[in-house]
Amino acid sequence: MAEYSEKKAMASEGTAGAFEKAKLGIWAFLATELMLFGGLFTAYTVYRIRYQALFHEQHLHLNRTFGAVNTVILICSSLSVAIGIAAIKAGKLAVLKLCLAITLGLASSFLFIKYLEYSEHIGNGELPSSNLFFSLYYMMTGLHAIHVLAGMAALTTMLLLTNRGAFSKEYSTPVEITGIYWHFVDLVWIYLFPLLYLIG
Amino acid sequence: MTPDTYGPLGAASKIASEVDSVYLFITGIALFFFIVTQGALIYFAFRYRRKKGAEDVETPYITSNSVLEGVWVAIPTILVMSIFIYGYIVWEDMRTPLPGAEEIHVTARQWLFKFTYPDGRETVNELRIPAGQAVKLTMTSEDVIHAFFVPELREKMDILPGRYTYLWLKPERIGTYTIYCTQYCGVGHSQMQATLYVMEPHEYQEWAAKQVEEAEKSMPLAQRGKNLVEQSGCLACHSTDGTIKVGPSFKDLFGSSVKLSDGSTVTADADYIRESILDPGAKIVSGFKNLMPTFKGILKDDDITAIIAYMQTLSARVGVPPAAATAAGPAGQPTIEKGKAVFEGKGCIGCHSTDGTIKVGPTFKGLYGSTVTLSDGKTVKADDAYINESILEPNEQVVKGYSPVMPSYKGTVNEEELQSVILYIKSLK
Amino acid sequence: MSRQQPSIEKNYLNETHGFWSWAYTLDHKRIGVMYLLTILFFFLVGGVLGLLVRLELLEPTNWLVSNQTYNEMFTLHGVIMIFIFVIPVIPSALGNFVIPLLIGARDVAFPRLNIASYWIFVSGVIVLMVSMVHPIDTGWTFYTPYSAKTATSVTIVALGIFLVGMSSILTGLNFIVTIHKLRAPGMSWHRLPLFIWGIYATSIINVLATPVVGVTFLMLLSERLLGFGFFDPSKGGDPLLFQHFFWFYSHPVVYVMILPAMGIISEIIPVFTRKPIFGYKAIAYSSLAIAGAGFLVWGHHMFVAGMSSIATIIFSFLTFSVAIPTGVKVFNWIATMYRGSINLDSPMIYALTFIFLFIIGGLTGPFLGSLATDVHLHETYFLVAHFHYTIMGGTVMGLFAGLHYWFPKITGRMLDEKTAKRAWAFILVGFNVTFFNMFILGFRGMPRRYATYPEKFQSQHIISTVGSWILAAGILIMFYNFIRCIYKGEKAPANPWRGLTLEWTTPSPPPTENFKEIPVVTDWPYSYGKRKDADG
Repeated sequence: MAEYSEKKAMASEGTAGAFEKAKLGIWAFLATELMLFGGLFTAYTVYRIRYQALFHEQHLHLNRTFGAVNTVILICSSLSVAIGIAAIKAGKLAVLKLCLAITLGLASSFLFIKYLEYSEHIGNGELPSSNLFFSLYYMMTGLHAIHVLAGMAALTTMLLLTNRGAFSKEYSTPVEITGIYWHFVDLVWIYLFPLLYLIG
Repeated sequence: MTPDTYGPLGAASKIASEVDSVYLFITGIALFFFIVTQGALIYFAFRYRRKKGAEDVETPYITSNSVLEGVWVAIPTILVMSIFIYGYIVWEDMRTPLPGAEEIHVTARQWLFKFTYPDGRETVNELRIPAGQAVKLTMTSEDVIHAFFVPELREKMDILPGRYTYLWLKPERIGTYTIYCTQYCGVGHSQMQATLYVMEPHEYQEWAAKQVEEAEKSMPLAQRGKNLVEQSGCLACHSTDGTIKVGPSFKDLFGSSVKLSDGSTVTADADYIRESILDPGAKIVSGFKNLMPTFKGILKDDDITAIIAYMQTLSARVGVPPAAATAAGPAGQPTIEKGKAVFEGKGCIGCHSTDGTIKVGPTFKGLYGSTVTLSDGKTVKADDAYINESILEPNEQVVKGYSPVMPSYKGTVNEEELQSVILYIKSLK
Repeated sequence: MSRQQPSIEKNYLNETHGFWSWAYTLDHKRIGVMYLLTILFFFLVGGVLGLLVRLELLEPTNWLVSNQTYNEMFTLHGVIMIFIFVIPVIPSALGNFVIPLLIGARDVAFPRLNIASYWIFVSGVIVLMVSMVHPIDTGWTFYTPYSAKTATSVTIVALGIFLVGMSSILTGLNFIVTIHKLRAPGMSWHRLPLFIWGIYATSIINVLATPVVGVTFLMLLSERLLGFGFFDPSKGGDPLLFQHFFWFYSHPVVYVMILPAMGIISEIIPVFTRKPIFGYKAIAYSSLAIAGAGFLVWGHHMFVAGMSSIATIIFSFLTFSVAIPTGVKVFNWIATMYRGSINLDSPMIYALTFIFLFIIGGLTGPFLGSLATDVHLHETYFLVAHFHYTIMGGTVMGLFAGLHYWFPKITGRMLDEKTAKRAWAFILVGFNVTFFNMFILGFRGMPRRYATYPEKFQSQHIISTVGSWILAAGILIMFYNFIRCIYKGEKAPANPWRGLTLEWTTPSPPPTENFKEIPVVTDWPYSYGKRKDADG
């Protein structure tokens, strides 16, 4: 019966169901990441309300230019990933490779700028132990940076696999999953930037 | 007299017996559910059990019953809500201090409780409350989280560093109760207890008066003199910083040369001060009026001695004659009483007992002069030098069977305090 | 189908051999077995620590060990039992084995993630063991400032727990996708075995709550190592924030502990009463309700911690909400037994014990959820008794029930019923003797985490310690039964209990690929007894 074979397909023994599984998997994983960062955002909220003056005063010590540039960098990197995925879905391997490389380049610049920022702060004596604002700043951007690194590892793996011809118009699930993860990393920063750098 | 009947569960106050009523209420409901569910469970298990080797009995195909589901959602909901409400109502009383409650400050630290009464008295590990007196405890910690718990009063509250928590009590049943720390706070947690004495009101008054007396006796003389000067009204007319008010300033007075109204000069020595207090009109300082009242009958002899000692501290003059010695011991001299005060005030009492009980550290009873076995197996004699080192460098020689957790008191105790503690320990046979 | 299996038939145990065939296996059944062996080993370690704790408490003074050692012992007992044993045991061990079989799949959604989860778990356990070089003494709750300041290896333990938590998260994620995407054709959500509903709710909690404890420990680590000031009052931080974060995870995690066990009971009762489970939908949805409500009540661990009045009141109110779906399950199980044909073999005996002990644990909950009485009972032995009744009387009895139930499927052998029942009797008696009198001890004021105590409590402590020996004896007899019957037990048929769930349609033990052909499901798995209408 048609119904039967339809249901049999649900048993996903081949790659047909693999994308479905993977997509649900990555969204479930992002839920955990949301809770992870959520804890820190909660701590930020609690202390911001409690120490308004401190937060207002201290946040001015952050380098808004660097922050803004980093925001633009990450948004562009999400764009490059999206273009890459659209490309592989149309079978354009070369474009995918280029986009993955660009994304990696942008991600590296993000981390480099963060390195510059951290050095500047440390030079000014603005350490995690200095006050609560900087504790939260280092913790939140630090955890985010670790996730950027993890994303870069995934992107690099995708690049290597693309070179080996693992992906095609029919099968690009790992790249799409990596893309979804990367968008999340970008999204977290889009919340971090105004909360830490902009709101007075 | 306060009634002794707060219920069979040992409640020591009215609020505690209200909590016991909540207990009974919950127990009643719990017992009801227990009998119904466990009864059905055990009954069904026996009634419907398959006999060994027998064939299956045909069972009815029952899958659900919405009415039943509704019932066993609705009834428990009503019952647990009533438990919540009753518990909340009583708790609201527990958290609302009665107006006029006496405020006592509680400071917790590893591993002792310090109580400070409104009149400034301080006790360690001992809280005394007259029965029927409402008391509000304002509590803070000097290090980690502790807690204050008296089972018979059904009261408990955590004590946090960096902020204050409060508990209000109105103990009514006379007796001695243990105050437990119930928030894990480190190696001495199990021994961190204090005693609550709920006393007959008149006995409490007697005790309080005696405390004041003793506090005065053991206080450093000059400190007592300062308190007296502040409390007796002297500062209305005399300053301590050189300002001229109604009378001469006390600054740099003692030992100085004073010009009198009749042109003669005297040295402001102990006798002069004494005379000025008891017979102020005898000598008037030039430029001042004869306005000072006498303090005869108001200030006793040893009060005056204390005031003289205080005056000396206000004088920068070199070669100031030493204050007369009193029963409390000359200022600057180590005494056993001072040692006891340091033992309690600086926290030694948190880890060391004086009655032989083993707490976090060894007991001080019989310590002095004894032979101590160290963690490496060597033995030493607990003499002055040993005790000295134990206080200033406690982890140099650790006693066998104890952990190296004692902090150093270098910088926290001065030489006089150090020697006083040694004298105190010596006295604990 | 109950024909004897020839002993040389290929199954998941004998198909491949050698260390690496297990270490790198992608077979969920082998992974489940590895988890089971690792975890049960640490159950015994944690149990020995518990026995030592009780031994010290025979006397009111430090007669056996010093304060410091005692504090380390109870801390390690808690950390091992909670993070290495109770949280993962049913989902990662039994669950891994049984879930694909129950839903008619060949494996979980992400087999490689599954084996990775196992090795992450093992690395976490190793890190925790390394920390014993300098054991911690903070209690398993790690309250700041003490845990931020104390010199013991809190940092290493926090890392170990982080890893073990990571394993839980990934396993939960795996199970969610498995249950959503890999059900056999015809297995709609309302034909899912109730154990799967329990695991599903559990996995949601794992996925959402565990990261919070992860970030909490990260914050604790950064406080210890880098001087961050989140929980330090001298830097403007708040020790209470740690408690909020910690309990935001640690309360839902008790539902991670109980929901899978409840799922096992829901499987066993219909099989052993030969009746359909009463209130299938109620039980299924109550699992989700418990999971959801479980996220709202964490503050009931902090009624006397210094929270605001309004927060305290709200948490007490919400706490009672979890009682309702829990009660629903208990009533439905008991109703299933009504007019059943009850087989009191070992799985059923343990299932009934679960219900009996869990009812006691559950009924002592309102004393703690109610504000007036919690002030008195918090951090006393009453609390210790409550959580041992719910966790040990609950989850661990459920585990034992599940082990007896699925032992034939996992090993291909039957357990010896007489020995099983003997062990059970010791366990039942020993457990109650150990823990029931702690309710009274706590009411009388005996605080927990005390190495020494006032003499007036000694007689009750002696009773509990003797009870712990009886309990230990029972557990040893049970383990003896397991080990002996793996080698000498009667060969098990495919379906020794005549169950209707899919795992019983495979041989005992199953082949690596689980099913020759993926089954097509046409009915729910609880069609016991005579039905008025014959079709599905």
